[in-house]
Amino acid sequence: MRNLADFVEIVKTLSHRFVEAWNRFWFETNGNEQMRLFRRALASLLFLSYLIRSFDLELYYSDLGVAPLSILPDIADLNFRYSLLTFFPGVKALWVMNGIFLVSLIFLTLGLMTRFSAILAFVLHLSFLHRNPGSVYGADTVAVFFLAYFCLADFRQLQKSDTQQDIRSILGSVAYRLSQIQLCIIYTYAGLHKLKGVHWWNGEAVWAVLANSQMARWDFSWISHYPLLFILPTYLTLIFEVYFPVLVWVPALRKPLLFYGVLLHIGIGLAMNIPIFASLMVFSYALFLDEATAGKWNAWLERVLILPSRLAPSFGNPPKIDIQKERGVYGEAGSHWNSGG
Amino acid sequence: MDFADRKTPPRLMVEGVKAALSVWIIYHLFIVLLVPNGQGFLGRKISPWVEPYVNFFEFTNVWSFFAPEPGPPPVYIEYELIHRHDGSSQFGKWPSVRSPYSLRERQNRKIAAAEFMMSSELRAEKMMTHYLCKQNPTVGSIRLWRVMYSIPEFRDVAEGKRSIGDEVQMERKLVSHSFCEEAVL
Repeated sequence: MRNLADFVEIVKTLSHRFVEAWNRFWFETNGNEQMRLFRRALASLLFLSYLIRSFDLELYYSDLGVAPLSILPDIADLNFRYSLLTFFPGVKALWVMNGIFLVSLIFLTLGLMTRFSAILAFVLHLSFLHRNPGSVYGADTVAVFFLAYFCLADFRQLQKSDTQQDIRSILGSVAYRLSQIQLCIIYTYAGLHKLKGVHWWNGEAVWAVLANSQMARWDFSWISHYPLLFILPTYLTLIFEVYFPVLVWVPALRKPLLFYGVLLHIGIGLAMNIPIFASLMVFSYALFLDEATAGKWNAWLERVLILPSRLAPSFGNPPKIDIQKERGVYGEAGSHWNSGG
Repeated sequence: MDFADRKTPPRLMVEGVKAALSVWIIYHLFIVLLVPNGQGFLGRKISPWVEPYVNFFEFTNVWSFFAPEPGPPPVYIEYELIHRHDGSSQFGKWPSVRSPYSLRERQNRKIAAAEFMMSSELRAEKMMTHYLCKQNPTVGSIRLWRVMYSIPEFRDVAEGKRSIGDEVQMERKLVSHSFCEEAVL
């Protein structure tokens, strides 16, 4: 009987600890600075990408292009995939929606009406993706997840004394954690998929990329005389991607890991001429910066780009507030608000 | 809204929101972890439960960048436009030529579209035929080929047997020969 009572007590203690840890991880993390920095970087990058896509807008999304509505069921799985562009199929509507999409990304960059802009950008992004899946590539699919999380994020500038929680901060914490985990999932699968590939096993994958005349920016023939120059990066890439999801949570290893990641993506971006995708991956590292560093970057951006960080609350990005002073005290549950990352 | 006017939510409400969010987090994480391996037994079994959510929000990516092999080799859709009146031919390919611009976003998207079309003959036929017929009103029919060039082994390049982009070893397969009257209907 005593043993049973002890067992029940242990289970209770463990459950309590698990719930505490769960709450702390998911709901009590302040990653606002990191998310604001990432939002600015990602939104400006997507703006550039979709501004460039505008040159081929009718080619990809109008009935005059490669994917008229009439053939869509033949080329794509439309189950539960909806697009505003199918409800408003005209060319004028296409340009209007593209314009709204670009404006929503500018607003996200500047921090204007962030929640509304994020939802609008997400809906329109999905609309373009579902209208023609054939025009989608890496950066678009990564952006889906982060735009979705931006819809939940809390971008307020909070002060150290803000120890209380409201629904917005809880959602913000969830968005921040999901964004971090999403990056880990991307690397995990990218690494594990590579393990199935012969070229990745025999160390020639980087060669196969550099020797692809359709993708490589320059003629890399000279590297064929120095095999170590592509064998070493092949294995390092493999190790980096497979272990990133674990090592990035180890504070002592985070900086060197992210530094290597930056070098890796700059290398890929330059060699393969995919600067938008490479930049997206590098910018996502903002999620793993510490709060102070992200804050410094934010302050620098605000100073250099004259971003409206202290606009009136009606414009969506409120001034620094001390929630404790502004509101009544909520209670004990939200008192632990650790620093994110 | 003035932030000073905001009221602290009741504790019960906050706990309720946390509980609801916890359920959603578990569901969402389960899905984003499962989808990249969705062709397995488990994926197929629970597909009806996750498909609406996954497709609606487009959480479908399998994250196989440069994997399992580091990207497809150079791929093109080659086409021959046969004019209605004189039967003359005009050749071209998608994507056309390498972009001279350093920021090659447009070309990258066209390469992605080419890979999408290469994955199915029906896609290639439907997308290219319709587009080319619309763009070229004098064309009566269109022939399409899927073309794939091989990537040279590094030893061959080092020994001077091949060069990058030499386009000597390729796979060229006829996709279709379609008439514009049918394609644009």
